[in-house]
Amino acid sequence: MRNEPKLVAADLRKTTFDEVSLGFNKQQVIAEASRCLNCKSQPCVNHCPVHVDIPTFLAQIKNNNVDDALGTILKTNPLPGVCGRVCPQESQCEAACVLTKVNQAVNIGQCERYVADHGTWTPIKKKAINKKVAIIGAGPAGIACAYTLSNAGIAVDIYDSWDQMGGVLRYGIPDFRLPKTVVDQEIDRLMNELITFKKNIVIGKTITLDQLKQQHFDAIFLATGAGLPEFVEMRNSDAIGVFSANEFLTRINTFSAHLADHDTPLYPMKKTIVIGGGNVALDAARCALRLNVDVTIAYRRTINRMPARLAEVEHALEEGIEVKECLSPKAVLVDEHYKMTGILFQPTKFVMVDGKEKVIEDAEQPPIIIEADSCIVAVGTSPNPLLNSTLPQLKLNKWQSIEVDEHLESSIPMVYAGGDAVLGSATVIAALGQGKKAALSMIERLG
Amino acid sequence: MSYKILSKRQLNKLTFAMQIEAREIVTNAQAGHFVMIRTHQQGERIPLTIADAQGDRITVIFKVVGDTTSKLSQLEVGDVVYEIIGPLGHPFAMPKIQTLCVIAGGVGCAIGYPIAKQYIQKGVDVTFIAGFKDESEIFYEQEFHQVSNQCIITVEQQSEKYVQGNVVDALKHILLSQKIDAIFAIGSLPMMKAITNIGEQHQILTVVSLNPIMVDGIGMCGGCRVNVGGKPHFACVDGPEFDGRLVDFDALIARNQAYDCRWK
Repeated sequence: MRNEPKLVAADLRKTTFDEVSLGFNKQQVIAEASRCLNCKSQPCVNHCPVHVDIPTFLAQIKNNNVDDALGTILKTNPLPGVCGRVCPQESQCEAACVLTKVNQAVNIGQCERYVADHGTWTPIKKKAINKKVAIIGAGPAGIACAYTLSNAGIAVDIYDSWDQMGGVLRYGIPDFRLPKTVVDQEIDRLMNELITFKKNIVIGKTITLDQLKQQHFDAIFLATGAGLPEFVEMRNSDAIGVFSANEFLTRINTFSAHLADHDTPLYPMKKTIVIGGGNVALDAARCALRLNVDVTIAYRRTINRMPARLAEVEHALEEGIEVKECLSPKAVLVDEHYKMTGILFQPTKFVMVDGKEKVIEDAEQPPIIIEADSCIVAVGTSPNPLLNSTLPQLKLNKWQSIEVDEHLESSIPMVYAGGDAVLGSATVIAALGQGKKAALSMIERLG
Repeated sequence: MSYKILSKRQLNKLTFAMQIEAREIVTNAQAGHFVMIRTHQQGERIPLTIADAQGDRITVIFKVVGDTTSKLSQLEVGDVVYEIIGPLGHPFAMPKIQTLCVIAGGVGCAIGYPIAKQYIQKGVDVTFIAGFKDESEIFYEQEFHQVSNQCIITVEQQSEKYVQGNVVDALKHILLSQKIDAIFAIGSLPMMKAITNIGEQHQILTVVSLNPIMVDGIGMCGGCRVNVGGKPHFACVDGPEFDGRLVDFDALIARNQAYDCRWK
C-alpha cells in the first residue's frame, strides 16, 4: 500500500501557518521508495517536465543513500523541496507510474521532499567560460535557468524587483503549503560564485532592456512571470473590501501583515468570499481561515471541476471552509461608505459544446446574495506587461504572453523567454522546465 | 545598492525633504515618476514621488501621515533605508501647450515643482498655484517663483503677505483674465476633484496625479486600481497621472480610507 505522511489535525492546523503535511520519517520513506518496480520504460521520468531520474533516486533512498539521492535529483531539478511539496505529481510522474494499474502510484512527491529536507549536497567547483547571461526575474524559471547556466560555467546576473529570490514561491504560496525556510534553504544551496543576485531592480524601468544589452551580456532570459491579477467583471468591483488574491497573499506571504511586529496592514475582515477554484483561491481561503475569518469559496463550476489540486480541496474542506458551487458573481453590494456588504451571484449550469464544458448562466433561477464584508478575487493572472510594454519589437500572443520558438528564443535575437511569461499561469515545475530548456539552448549557442 | 540618507531638511511641522543615495534610479528618472520605499525589512512599502534626481541621489518630500512616513521622518543622515524601487509609473507628459497651470496643495507642491521646472525649461508659460493651510506650512517659496512666470501662494488663514483662500478660488480668479491650455493638479482628492470640475467647465485639459494605496508598485496587486473612463486602471503601471475628467474620484476617496481602522 502507498504510504502517506501524517498531517496536522484539521482543527489544530487552521489556527497556524505551520506546514500541514509533516512529511515522511526514515522508515516510511524507505518503505515507500521500495515500492518502485524500477520498470525499464520509466514512464515517470518521461512525465516529469525536467525529467528527474526518479527510479535511481528511489533506489538510492532504498539503499539508505539519501545524500546520493539528492545529488541525483539536483542534476535536473534545482528545487526538489519545493517541487516535492507543490508539484501536481498526481497528473505528472505519479499519474504515469505503472503501479496505478495495480493499486496506487509510488508517492514520488513525498520521497522527493524527504530527500530535499534531509540530504546534504556538495556542489562541484564551476569552471567559468567567460560568457555572461542576464536573467530577468528570480522566480522558478529564472532560478532553473541560472542554475543550469552556472553548471556550464556561464556567469549569470539575475535581476528582480523584490529584495529576495523566489518570485511566486515567496509572494504567492503560503507557509502552510511551502514554508519560506524551505525556499531559503533551496536557494542558498544552489547559489554559487557564478550567480549574482541583483535585487530591487525593475528591468524596463530602473534599467531598460537596451541599457542592459549595452552591459555586454551574451544573452538575456526573460522570466517575468504572470503577476498581473485579473478581476471579474462585476458592478462595484473597486469597492472597499474587494482584493485580488495577489494583494491578499502578498500582504501575508511577503510582508507578514498578520504578525504584530510587521507594519503592513491587513483589512479587518470577519467574513470573506473567495471567488475562484484554483490553487490560488484555495491558498487565499485557507490564509483567511487562519486569520480567524469566516470563509466561503464561490466557484462557477462544481467542486469536482475545480482546477486546484484534489488534496488541497480536501484539506480546505476538512478545515471547515464552505464551498458554494455553480455561482457567477454579478455585483458587489456596498453601503454608503462604498464598503462591501455582500455579493450578488447568478446561479450557473454547464453544458457540453464540442466536447468542451461551457458555463451558462441560468436565467430561470433567481440570483442569490451572500453577505460578507470582503471578497478575494482569484480568477487567474496574466503576464506582467511592465517590461513587455517597453519592447515594441517583442512579439506577444493574444493573451499577452511572449512568443518563442522551439528553443525558447523570442522575436528579439539572443533574448530568450520562459516560465509563466510564456505559458500564462502554469506550474512551478513547468517553469523550471522552461528555465532549464532556455539555458540549454543558450549553452549550445554560447558554449 | 545601499540607500543611505545623504541629507534631511524639515520643511514645516510635518513635511520633510530627504536626499537618498540611489544611483541606479537616477539614470532613468523623470518628472512624474515615483519610487516604492520600505524603511526596514518588517516595514510597509509605500509610494513616494521623486521630487528630484541628480548624480547619485534622489530627493523625496513627504508629509508624516502614518506609520511608515513617521518612521522615515525619524531616520537621520547616514541611516540606510531597507529598499527603494524605481523609477516607477509613467513620466508626466502633455500634448503641445503654450500655457500650463500647476496647482498643488500642501506636500503635493513637492510634486508640482519638478513638473513646473520641466515645462518652464521647455519655454511654456507656467503659472504655479501653491496652497497651504497657514503661513508656517509654506516651503520652497523661492523655488516656486523660479520655475514659474507667475506664482500665487494661498493660505486658508488671514494673511498679509499671501492670498487668503484656497487654490480653487485662485484658479477661478486667474481664468477670469487669462487663457490656460492645460492644468496639472496634485493634492488632496477633493481638491483635485474640484479643480477637474473647473477645468471641465472651461474645457481645459486637466491632468491629476493620483496616490492610491499600493503594495508592490509594479502591477502585481491591483490595490491601486482606479476607475478611469469606466474601466479599472492600475495607478502604479498605468499612471500615476490621469485625465481628471475620466477619474471616479468618489470611489477613490472611499478606497483610500480602507485601512483607516487597522487589523492590529
